Amino acid sequence: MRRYLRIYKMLLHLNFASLVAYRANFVNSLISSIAWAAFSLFSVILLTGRTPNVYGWSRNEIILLTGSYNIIVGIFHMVFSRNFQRFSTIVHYGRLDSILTKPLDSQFLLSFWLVAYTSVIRVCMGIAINIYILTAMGLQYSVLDIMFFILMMLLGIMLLYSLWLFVITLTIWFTRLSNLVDLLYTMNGVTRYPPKMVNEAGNFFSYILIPFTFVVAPPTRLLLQKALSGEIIGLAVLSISFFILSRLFFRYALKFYTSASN
Amino acid sequence: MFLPKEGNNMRILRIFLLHVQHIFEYRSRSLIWFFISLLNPLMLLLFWKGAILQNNGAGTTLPYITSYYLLLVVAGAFLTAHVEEDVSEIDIHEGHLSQYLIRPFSYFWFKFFEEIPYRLLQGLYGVIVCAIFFSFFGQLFVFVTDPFQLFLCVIITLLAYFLSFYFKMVLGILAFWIQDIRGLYQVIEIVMLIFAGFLVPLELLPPAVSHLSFIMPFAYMIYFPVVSFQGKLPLDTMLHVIELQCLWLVLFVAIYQIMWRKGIQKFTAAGQ
Repeated sequence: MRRYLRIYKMLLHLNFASLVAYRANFVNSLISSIAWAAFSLFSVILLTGRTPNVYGWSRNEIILLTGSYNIIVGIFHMVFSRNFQRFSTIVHYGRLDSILTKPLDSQFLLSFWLVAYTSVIRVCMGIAINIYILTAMGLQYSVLDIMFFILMMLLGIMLLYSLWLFVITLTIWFTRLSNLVDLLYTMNGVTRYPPKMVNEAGNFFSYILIPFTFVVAPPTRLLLQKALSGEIIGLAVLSISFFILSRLFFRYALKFYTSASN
Repeated sequence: MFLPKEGNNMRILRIFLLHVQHIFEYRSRSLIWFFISLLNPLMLLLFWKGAILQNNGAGTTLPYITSYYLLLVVAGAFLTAHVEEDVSEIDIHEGHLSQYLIRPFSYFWFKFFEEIPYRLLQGLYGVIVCAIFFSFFGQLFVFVTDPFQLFLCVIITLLAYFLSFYFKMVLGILAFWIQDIRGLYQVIEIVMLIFAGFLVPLELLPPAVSHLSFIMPFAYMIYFPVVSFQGKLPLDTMLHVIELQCLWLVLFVAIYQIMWRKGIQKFTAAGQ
């Protein structure tokens, strides 16, 4: 474990070095992080313009959901998304061998190699939105409440990670589907709507999306001091079981990997 | 417009057929791309469903909103060319443009006929989804019925495609001057999501934003084809839309031509 922490520290250094080295790239990533965070805020303001109440969420509560969405997805993009993109490209070009042969856990190497520091700005924007809305609503918190929120958020990120790993592992069989990553980026967007919306759709395809509704909504409900114990337990159970299942699935899939003889 | 010369017709057909083969080779990939374009409109539709049922209509009706987002799926798939990244990354930055330059064929039309099979396949997926939906919830669908209006809809749609394609080509060849252009593309994508009507039907936006969106060219690429197929536009508005589309198109063609001439002088590629 300590070895992995040391390696991750090294990776953080290396990623920071490349961030500083490629300035145009840095500016571009920064622009796109800010733009997407701003878009998620504008879109929710425009959408709720005529609707004080949707699926049991008031306008302020939905904006708070967007704030939490930006925090959670911002952290997720910072730590994981680009690695999954790399994962599907590696499989597509048959370069997975060079990772499998290294004396480290291959899931670790595939999940933590790249760090997108610029997403920090998105997390900050999310925090700013949340503080603004919560102050406007006049809610008070103890340190313990905040700690509990952070814990729930981490569980949400773990659930999102496991869902992504599950889907991206499929590219080991279907190597051409490297655009599954783009599908996942879009599916992340589902998390910023009230869960009831997806649950009530009552359609076969919407059931696939239900796990995504657990990522952002339960921590947000906790902030609103409205969380039901069912939501909290649901998130914990889902995130731990999906984490274990996705790891098993990944390991199982590796048996079917056919390399292009590197 | 600068149409290709007579003798080129066979070559156009070849380029087209080659890429038809290509998309059928990658049909599973295309299907994923289609799911991606389907997901957001469906989420928005569900959101509006709740909003309308719980807020006494919220200024609109369910049939209007349902047919809007479903037609939007088709329009998004059929009318949004994704040519800019190929042009900027592969052709200009990696230097593959030189391959095209030595061929006796205009680069623009090459790209144009490369893109069409993809758009047709994506559009076909969209039509299938609409047809399935229509068979279940026909009463929730608003669609144009008058044949002359339908004819105008087709014209608006074609002009919209040309408009969107020229716009994307202009974005693509911006790469002659700007080295790393992805940030700009993301910003433009977001601007389009709001002002082309992908997010909310433009007339339901706050008045100031809605007014702004009709001044920009994006509404004429997506929003107007959608609402015209809904049969919601009176005849004179449709003709006015066609007029404005033509104006924008002339402007984009001129910008493209000027930029292409200047840009091609700057272009250098080594060792192809």
